[in-house]
Amino acid sequence: MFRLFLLIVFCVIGCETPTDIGSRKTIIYTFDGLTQDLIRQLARTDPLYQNFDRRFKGLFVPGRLLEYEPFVLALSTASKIPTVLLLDAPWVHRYAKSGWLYELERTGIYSKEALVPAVAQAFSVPVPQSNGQLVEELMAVPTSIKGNILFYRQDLLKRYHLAPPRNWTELKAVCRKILPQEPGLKYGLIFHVTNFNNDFYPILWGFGGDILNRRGQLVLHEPEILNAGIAALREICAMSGSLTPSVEDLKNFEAPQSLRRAFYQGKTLFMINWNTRMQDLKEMIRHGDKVGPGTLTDLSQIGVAPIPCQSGHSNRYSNVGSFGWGINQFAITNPEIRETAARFIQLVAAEPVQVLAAKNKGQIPALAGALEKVKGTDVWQVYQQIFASEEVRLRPRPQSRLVNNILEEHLFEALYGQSSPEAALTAASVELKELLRTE
Amino acid sequence: MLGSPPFSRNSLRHRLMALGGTAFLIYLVVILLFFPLLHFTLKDLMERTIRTIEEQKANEATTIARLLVLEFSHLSELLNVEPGGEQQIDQRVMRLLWEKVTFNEVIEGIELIHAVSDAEGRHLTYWYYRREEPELEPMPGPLRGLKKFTGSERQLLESINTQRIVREDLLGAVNRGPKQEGEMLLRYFPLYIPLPELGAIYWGVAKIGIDVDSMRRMLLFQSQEQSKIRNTVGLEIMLSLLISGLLAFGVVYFWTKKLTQPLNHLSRVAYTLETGQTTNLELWHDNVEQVDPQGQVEVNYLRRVLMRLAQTIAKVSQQLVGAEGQACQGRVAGKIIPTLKMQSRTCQELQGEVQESYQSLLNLLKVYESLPSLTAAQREEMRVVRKQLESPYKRFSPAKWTALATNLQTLDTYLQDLGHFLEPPEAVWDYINLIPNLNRALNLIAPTLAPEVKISKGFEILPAIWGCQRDLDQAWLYLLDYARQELAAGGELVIQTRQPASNQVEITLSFSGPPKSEAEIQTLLAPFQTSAAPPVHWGVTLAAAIFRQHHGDFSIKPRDAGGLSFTARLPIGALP
Repeated sequence: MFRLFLLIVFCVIGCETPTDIGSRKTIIYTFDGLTQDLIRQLARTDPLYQNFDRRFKGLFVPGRLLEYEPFVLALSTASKIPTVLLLDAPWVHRYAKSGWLYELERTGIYSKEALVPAVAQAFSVPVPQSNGQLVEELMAVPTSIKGNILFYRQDLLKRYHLAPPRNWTELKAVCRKILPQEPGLKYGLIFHVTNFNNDFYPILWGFGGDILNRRGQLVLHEPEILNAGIAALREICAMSGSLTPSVEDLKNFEAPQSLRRAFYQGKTLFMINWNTRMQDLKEMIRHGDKVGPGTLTDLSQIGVAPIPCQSGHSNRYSNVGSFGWGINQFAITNPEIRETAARFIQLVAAEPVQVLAAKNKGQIPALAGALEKVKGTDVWQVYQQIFASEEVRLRPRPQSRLVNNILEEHLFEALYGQSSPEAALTAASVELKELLRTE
Repeated sequence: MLGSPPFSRNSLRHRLMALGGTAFLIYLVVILLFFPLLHFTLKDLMERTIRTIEEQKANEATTIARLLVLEFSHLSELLNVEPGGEQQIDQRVMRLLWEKVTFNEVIEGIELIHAVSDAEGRHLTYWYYRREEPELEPMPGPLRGLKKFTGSERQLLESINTQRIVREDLLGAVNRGPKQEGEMLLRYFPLYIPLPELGAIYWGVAKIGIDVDSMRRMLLFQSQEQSKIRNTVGLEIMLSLLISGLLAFGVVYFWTKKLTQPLNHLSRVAYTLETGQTTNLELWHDNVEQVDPQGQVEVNYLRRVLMRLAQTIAKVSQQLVGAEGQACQGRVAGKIIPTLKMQSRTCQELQGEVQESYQSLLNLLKVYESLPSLTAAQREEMRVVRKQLESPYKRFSPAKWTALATNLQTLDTYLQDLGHFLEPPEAVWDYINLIPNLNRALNLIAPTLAPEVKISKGFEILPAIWGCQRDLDQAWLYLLDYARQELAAGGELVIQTRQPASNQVEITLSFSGPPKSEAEIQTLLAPFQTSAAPPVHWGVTLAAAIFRQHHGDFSIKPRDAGGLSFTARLPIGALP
């Protein structure tokens, strides 16, 4: 009895939990207009999304400052703001490798089991464990699956009883068969001229080439990889003027939306573009602005397939363009913030949001459960035809803008015929080696 | 005046006081436990304070370092610096360093370390430290040069330069122990130069030293304040305990005393009955009645029961006394009757002899009267016979006559004595002489004793004492009857009276018999106070009660040769 009395005395006098007086009630996230629209729509019917703006504060970043990468400065100086960031896949890798992002799966905030494996892999980063082993850890929760794919004229391929090409040899063969018989078709294949490297990366990977390995080390200068890269670039350059736009025509595709317009107008048999362009094409067809005899009139005229690889390679690749929600490592100063951040991610990456984004914006849900709910739609079909395939790999491009700029510069030289593919890529590898040495 | 019960240590009052004392001691211990609690609480508070201050300082250091890094990130010219000759940007950078360190007392020093190192592992570095500590030589101004780093700092710089990671373990290692630059908290941040189109370009490491002297002063102040709190609280607690202890003991003592007063009073009254101090049950009943329960239900209940018990005991005692007296008289009578019978038979025999002699004279006279003639001798004989018939007793010898007379006298004495005890006089208190009735009782008992019992009497002349003749006679009879039962053939009975003091007489009855233990003697005196079986006869107990009733004293002592010695001391005069 007396011990019990003492225990109570100890409990009352000396064992109370210290009060955390410094915790915040709201967290700050990087504002995103699309997310905001979706949340507002859901708030009308779902009480979970009501008062969202009161609980979570959006951080508005002036557009002109984005090019300076303000979050790099913030996170590199251990800033607690913002708590949650919406990051492009390459940035997830860059930030995670610098130790700026909070691990999501190990800490129990989010399980990647619910995510489609391909996109979960794209947002996972190898993290060294205490025993020295590297373990793939989910560092951001993707809201959708976005990657560049090959759009093709399904109606024409069907007409000529041809299957979508799996490699570049097949693609060229399809083009050579159809183009002479379809005078409306001006090009066999078109791709982005600005930011060409975004379209080139999956081609390069499909040839077994790469720029950096998963640890961020330069591999392009390695002979085997450099040769693969040269082969990939040579393949593209070799089609210039015959299947792809000539050097003179390339400038026609520098303007925004020029690619999708050309495809809509029926000027090309194949197009490399983001999968989200399907929604744009759908809208264009719905509006029915006929600009020529070959203009698409029905969505069934459009087919999608993975970007071809080199003959003999089993995997085809897509340059992941999805965004994901990551948590600032330095912001997690107490359990309350951690819980609030977890709750935020649970809300913004939840099934209803992804289903609504699929319906409104044509985004492919990253959650397997949400995909089930959009079964049968064109979004689901794109997923089934491309990202559900085991041979398709979603990979992020190198995160360094300098690396991309150097590569792009030399790719342009080759694309515009100013240098050979060999010279261009060799020069790029030398320059990148120098850059990474100094960096 | 009531006696004090011997159970005072176990009494309710003492237990309540002990309980109160124990409760206070527990309270005392609990309060004293506050000291270690206070110590641990303050220690915990100190640790938390240190932790909080260190966290605050770390946050402050991080914030200041961040602000500086953000400012340095605008120095896009830094991207063009190279080792070797002085460049245009150098002056700007060094001026900035000097201003920041000189005019902000929180900033102890700054280093900007370029990521690129030469073949010897040296980095182009701009640095300036205030070096305020007396043992450190002050720097003449900001410096630029190639600097080589070692140990944990080198590892930390490598991890930042290669992976952009500020490893906490290495940062902690660098901050532990003495530093070349002086005592300060160091922060290392990657320094990016953001450029349009190109984004944030990594340049190197910004190393910022933050002053920690204010934190040390704060911690010292905390420690001193806690010592003060400890001493003050300790003193206050000790004073509180002292005052509350005095108050508690005072209150508990008086409260307990008042609370237990009725029960204590009742117990003391009951104790007099238990110890036999009381001889007057009516008085004892009155004493019980006078106990004030003070509203305590339990005491009131006990009081009622004791009063009823007193009444019952009185009735039972009366019956017991009456019954025991009758029993005693019956036993004595039963024993004396054979003696009386023998005496009676002797008288009858003597009477028969007289009767027989008279009849023979009568027959002889008839023979002479029937004869026609008588000779002179016959006539003379006839005259003698007629004379003898007129006084036939004259034919007996004087010895026979004496024997007859003695027998008759003895018989008469026995009958008178027996009658005295069987039909006692009324209980009257007066001055009485003890010796005659003591003798009378002895006479009555003597014939009933075993054969050859030697009776010794040593009576001194005693003054008359104030008492009840009937009760005292009964007492003598009780004692002698008990002695009779104990005495064996050839035994000894001694009865003595004396006056040991002018106001006191003493009667001693000593007799042989089997040895008696103290417990047996105690059973005789106070049969209810021992656990032994009560005596078969209550005579001695009742005799003792009679002596106490006469304000006398009665004691029993064992004789060395066996048997007992009863001594009764009675006051001569009536007590006030």
